[in-house]
Amino acid sequence: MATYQLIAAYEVGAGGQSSITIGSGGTIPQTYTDLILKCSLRNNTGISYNTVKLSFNGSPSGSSYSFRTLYTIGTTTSSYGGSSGSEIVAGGSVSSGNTSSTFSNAEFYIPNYAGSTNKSVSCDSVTEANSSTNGNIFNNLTAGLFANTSPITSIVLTSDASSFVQYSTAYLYGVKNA
Amino acid sequence: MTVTYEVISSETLGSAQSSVTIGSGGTIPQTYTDLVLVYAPLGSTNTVTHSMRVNGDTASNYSLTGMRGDGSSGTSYRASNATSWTMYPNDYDNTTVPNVITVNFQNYTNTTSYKNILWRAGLSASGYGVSAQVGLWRKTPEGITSITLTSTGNFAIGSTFSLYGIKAE
Repeated sequence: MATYQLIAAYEVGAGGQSSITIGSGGTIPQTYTDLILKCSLRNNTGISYNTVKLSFNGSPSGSSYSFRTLYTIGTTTSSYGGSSGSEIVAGGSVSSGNTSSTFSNAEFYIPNYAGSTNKSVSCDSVTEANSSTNGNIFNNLTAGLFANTSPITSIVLTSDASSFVQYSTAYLYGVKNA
Repeated sequence: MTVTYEVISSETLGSAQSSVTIGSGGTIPQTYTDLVLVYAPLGSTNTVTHSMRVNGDTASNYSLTGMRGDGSSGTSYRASNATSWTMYPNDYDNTTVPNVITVNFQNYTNTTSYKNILWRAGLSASGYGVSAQVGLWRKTPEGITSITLTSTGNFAIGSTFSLYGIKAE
């Protein structure tokens, strides 16, 4: 029996997209155990540090999110976090000021997404473009919490930038443990 | 379509336990290429931590190197000649917010080389953090047939443990 199945695939088209919504209207099926979201992202700005933000179910409560991140930029390793926020800041996308045709690589793991407990999220993300001119070449490990007991039925990805560029992708998989 | 990612075992605790063994008696099948362990432990209190052994080996064959962030600073740590892999040694399990922990065991059946593992853990709550560790098991090479997780207190009701096998075919 297949336990790792594609639920949804999303590719940003020409002109870009300000956000990526998966399960619009609350359509993520509740029949899996865990969710895995794999992303490849690039944005349209040249700012030095460009994060990706994750929120669920249309953010029913704007203060339900917290996170802890360990990251490396160049030769520096550090950590930051946030609490009572409106999204989980998790990873980055490659800015347009960096080498062309380079995209980030990120994976979000969301266990027990259909359960009635608060939702923990794990994220690994890297951006590498053979350049540090814009300072946004970093890798990133994040623990996030969505302090809400409702099942996750939709996911929204946003960015510091105004849009994700064409060919950015997001694939959502479901994992069954039985 | 060939199925390459399969459930080997899955357990949700209905009662608190101080240890959980996956593949008890050495029953993890040796028919996959890699293993992925996904677990979300809850603690009996907020001050318990836990560790992992494979194949019941209690000798000083374990080492690890890790890095951790608590929301304000990043640190690294390591241990060698240890009798287990201690998970995120500066952290604890939480009574209400589960960790999200994934552990990758590549080429776990080989009998010619020591085993490396990679695990990532994270819990977003005050006083907790996120970590990534690599581990090495240096027992005379043998396939991994069981995995035991042990808590300094208890794994609480609702803790989940799932083991998946990946076939490279």
